[in-house]
Amino acid sequence: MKKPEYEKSLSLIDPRTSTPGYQFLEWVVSLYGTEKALTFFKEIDRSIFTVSSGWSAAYGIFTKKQAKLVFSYQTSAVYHWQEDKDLSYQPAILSEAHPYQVEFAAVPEKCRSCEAGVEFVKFLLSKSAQTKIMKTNFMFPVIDGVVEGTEFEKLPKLKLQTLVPQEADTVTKNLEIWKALAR
Amino acid sequence: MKSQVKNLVRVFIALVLLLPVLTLIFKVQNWSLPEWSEVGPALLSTFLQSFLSAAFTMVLGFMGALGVLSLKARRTFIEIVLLLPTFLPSLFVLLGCLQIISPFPFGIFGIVLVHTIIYSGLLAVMIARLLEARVGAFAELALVEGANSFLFLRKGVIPYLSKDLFSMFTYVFAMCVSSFSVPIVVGGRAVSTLEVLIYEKAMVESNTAQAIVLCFMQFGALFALSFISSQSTPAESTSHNLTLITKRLLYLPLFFISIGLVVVNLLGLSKGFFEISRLANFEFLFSKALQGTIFVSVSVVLCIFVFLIAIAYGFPHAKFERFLHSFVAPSTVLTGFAFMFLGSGSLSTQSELETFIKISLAFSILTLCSLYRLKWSSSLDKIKTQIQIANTLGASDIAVFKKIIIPQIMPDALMLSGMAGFWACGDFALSQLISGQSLTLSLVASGLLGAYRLESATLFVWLSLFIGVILFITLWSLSRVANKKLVS
Repeated sequence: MKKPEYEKSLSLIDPRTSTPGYQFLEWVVSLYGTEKALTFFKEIDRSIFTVSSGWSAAYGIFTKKQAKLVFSYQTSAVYHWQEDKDLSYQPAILSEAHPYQVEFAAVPEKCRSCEAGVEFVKFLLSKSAQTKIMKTNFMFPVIDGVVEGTEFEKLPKLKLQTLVPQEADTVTKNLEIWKALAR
Repeated sequence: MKSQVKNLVRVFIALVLLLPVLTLIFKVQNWSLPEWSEVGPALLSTFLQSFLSAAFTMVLGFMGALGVLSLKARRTFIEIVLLLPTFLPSLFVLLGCLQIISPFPFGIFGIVLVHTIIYSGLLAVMIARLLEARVGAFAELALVEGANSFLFLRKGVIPYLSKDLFSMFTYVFAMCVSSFSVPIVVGGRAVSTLEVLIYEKAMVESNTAQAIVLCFMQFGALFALSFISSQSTPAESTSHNLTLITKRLLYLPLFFISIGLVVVNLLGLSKGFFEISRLANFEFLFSKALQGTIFVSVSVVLCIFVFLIAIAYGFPHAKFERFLHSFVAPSTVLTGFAFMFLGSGSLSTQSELETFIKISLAFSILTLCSLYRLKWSSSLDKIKTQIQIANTLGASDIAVFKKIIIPQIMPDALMLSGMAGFWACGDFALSQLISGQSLTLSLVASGLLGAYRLESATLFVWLSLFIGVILFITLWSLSRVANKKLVS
């Protein structure tokens, strides 16, 4: 990302206003440590085209060909392969381990139809629901035996890094790194 | 007794506007102040970009207005085109600007540029109307006496309309102060504004107390600004010869900017149709969202209409007017956050009707003061002397309200309500926080944006704008009928 050929090519998301944006910041901090993370951001500053308030805006800037690279999901490529029949969208395979995001479903404490809610969550874990979610929301399923024979199978296997949920103080401290970029 | 009713109405309006802040204040357990090291830069950059944006918008809007005044045929069409950047969601304006202007000047100039593009067309239309209504006779006299057009504008028109122009300036200024996406996307790395800081405090740090303190800072700044304003100019009849101040081609830059944004956003729409045709349950989703959009926008029209009439009933009152002039609605995030606590208090348990009512009320609170600054204040100022004379002669409040206020303000009340309805059709930032479901066309668009389908989302945005246009034209027509009745 520090190379001149990547100048103004990256569409990022602001970590203060978006969870994928914060994930990027947290990932960089976990890779380089708090102090070196700021140096890293300063070094790749030339490569950043723009920072958006949310994933939709960042990805829109990318699909409108304003930026060559975007911080998104590996499965984003499948959308373009499957829906646009466009194979030019490819995930970047980095030497470092990649962060991943897990989506949750839960029944709230103040539920109106709690049993139905629990049943629905169980249904979400069924093969048919997971297939539907995978194909329409373009995300990996959480159960085995679903990706076989689909475009998802063609995605490269990546080294993964688990980012553990953080305390509010750590989040604030990490955001200070980001804010320091403006000074 | 009669002034007690008026006072109650004023208090009611103030409480409605303060409802989100009051709700949050009751929820706060521990109060703390944000550190100056983070507030200082945010304040500075917010006010610098807002001031410059408002100043450039005024200049471009004024020039555009001189061009709009020269139009005879197709004026309505051109005015609608000029208004489009204001009513398009900011993401679409941003994407359009980034595609059209290359290389884009990121940083403070970028923010000012995008804000100027968004609001100049609206101001051109508003200033054109203002010039027609207020300086027609002067312009005719000056033309007959051979005045220089530039000098007439500089020494006559601008000082004469200073209060009205200042109201418009504060309107744009307030809109730019509460701008969220634009500074982040084009402001450069980690740009800090009050609105971003409020979001961070409320949503990331869960520090509602500091978010409210920041909110009051915004309010305080505009309150200070409202002291600068002077007296409004009296109204006069329209249909004068404005040849002296019209400049034929000056509307063209704004017109081409709007057309450029529209064209860029229309590209790829065929893909949007194709994508939508493959969506499961499309017809059900569409009809439900359409009903939701109509319900929300009509409710907003009714709410705004009632609030505007209530403000008119409480008029004139110096402190009340000062409050309305300076009040900045709490940020979208805080308002949405506050409305989550109201009613059943949970997204999962609230009914659709409750959600719709919350969205309508919250949206009305967010837009009411903008509309007041934009037009309502000057509309009321026009009849201030008549009300004072009637009161001095002993007319009752009800008689003044029914015989003087209502007939004269009805056209503007209807038009402004229509404008709010138009805006409500395109809202998804606030609705998303309160609803959590795809209940309106804009919310469906937002959902599609989050699922890679930018073109389908664009299509839904245009659909919601179309509904907004129909609603606005309906209210505008009613406004014209009311105006004709007034003239006759």
